[in-house]
Amino acid sequence: MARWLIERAEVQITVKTPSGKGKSSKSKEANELIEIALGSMQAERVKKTRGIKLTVKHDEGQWHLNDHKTKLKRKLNQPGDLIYHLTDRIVYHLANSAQGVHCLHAASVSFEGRALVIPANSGAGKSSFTTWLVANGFDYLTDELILIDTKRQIQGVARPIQIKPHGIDAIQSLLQEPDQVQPGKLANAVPISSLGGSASPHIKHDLAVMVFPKYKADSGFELVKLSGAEAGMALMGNHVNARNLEGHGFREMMAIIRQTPCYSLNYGGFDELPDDFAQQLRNLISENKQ
Amino acid sequence: MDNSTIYQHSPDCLLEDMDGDLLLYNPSNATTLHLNGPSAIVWELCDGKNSVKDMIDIVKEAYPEQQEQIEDDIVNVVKDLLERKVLEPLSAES
Repeated sequence: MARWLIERAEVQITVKTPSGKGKSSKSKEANELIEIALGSMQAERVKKTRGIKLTVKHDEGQWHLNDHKTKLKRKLNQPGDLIYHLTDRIVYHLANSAQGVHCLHAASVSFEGRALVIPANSGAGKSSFTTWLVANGFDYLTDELILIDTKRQIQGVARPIQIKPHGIDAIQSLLQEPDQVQPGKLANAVPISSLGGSASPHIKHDLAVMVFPKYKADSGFELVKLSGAEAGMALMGNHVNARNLEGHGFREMMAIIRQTPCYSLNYGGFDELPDDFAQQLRNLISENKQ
Repeated sequence: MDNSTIYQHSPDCLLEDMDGDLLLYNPSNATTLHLNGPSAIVWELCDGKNSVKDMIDIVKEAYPEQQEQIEDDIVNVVKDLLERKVLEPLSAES
C-alpha cells in the first residue's frame, strides 16, 4: 500500500494503491504508474489518507480508478488513459474546491522563475505548444490548470503532458526518450523527463506574460499584442472556479490583465514558428519584471 | 419594442474600463461582453431615467449626420443587451 498527498489552496487529495500482501504485482504496477503520473506534481508520500481519496489498482490487465468523493469509477486498459483520468480527477477537485485563488484552464512554463501562462480551451493546441516550450528549455508548470492569486503568483498542476492520439506524430521529433511516453486511447501521457525537460512545481512563480494560442493547420505564424479588453474577454472564458469567488473574480482578473502583457498566437505547426521564437518569448518574460 | 420603455442595468452586472474599452460581466450567465461604439453609448444611457425614445433623441442630437440609422441601431443594441440579460425594464416599484 502506498499513498501520495497533493495539497494546494486548502485542498487535500490522497491517491492510494492497494496493499501489496499477496498481490504484490498489482501494487507494484500501480505504484510505478502513479510515480509517473504524480512525479512532477509535488506529491508527498504520506502514511494516512487526508482529504479526498482516489484509489488505483491494476488487476487482470485493467486499471481501476475510484474517486470516493464523487463515486466515479473507471476501468481502463491503457496506462496513458489511467494517467489521463487520474490527473483529471485531481484537476477537477482542485478547481472545484480551491480557496482564495483563481483557477484558470491554462498551461504554463517558466523561465528564471517567471511564468508564461497559456490560457486556452481544449483543441487550441495548448498541450502541443507546451511540449515544444519544454523541449526548448522552459521549465514545466502545467498543461491544464494554474492557480493564481491576487499577487499574480502562480502554481501549476504538473501532470505529464496529455497529447491526444492525433497529435502524437507532431511531437515525436521533440522526444528524447520516446519509450517513456505512456500510450492511451484518449491521450498519451508525456513525462517531462521524456523531453529532457524539468519541472518546478514546488515554488510559486510570478506571472510575466500571457499567450493565447490558436492552432490551425498550415495557418502560418502570427503573434499579436492584445488590448486589455480582448485579453479580458478571452481570460474570463478560461476561468474555471468563478462561481466560487466574490463577483466571479471578474475585477481581480481584470486587475491582473492590466499588469500583464497579453498576446494572441496563431500557428499552423512547429515548423512555422520562427527560429528564434523561444528566445523571443524569453525576452518578453524578462522585459516584464516588476 | 415599445420606445417609451425605460431600461436599467441588471443589478449584478460588473463593469470594468480597460483603457477606454468597456468590459461587462454578467454573473447570472457567466458571460463577458465587450461594449464598444453604439453598445457602450446605449449602456451608459440606460440609467433608469431615459426611455428608448430619449436615447434616440440624445444620440441624434450628438450625431446629426447619422440621423437615419440611429433609431435602428439603438433599438437593435437594446434588444441585444436584453437578450444577454444585462438590461431590464424599470419596474413600477423602481
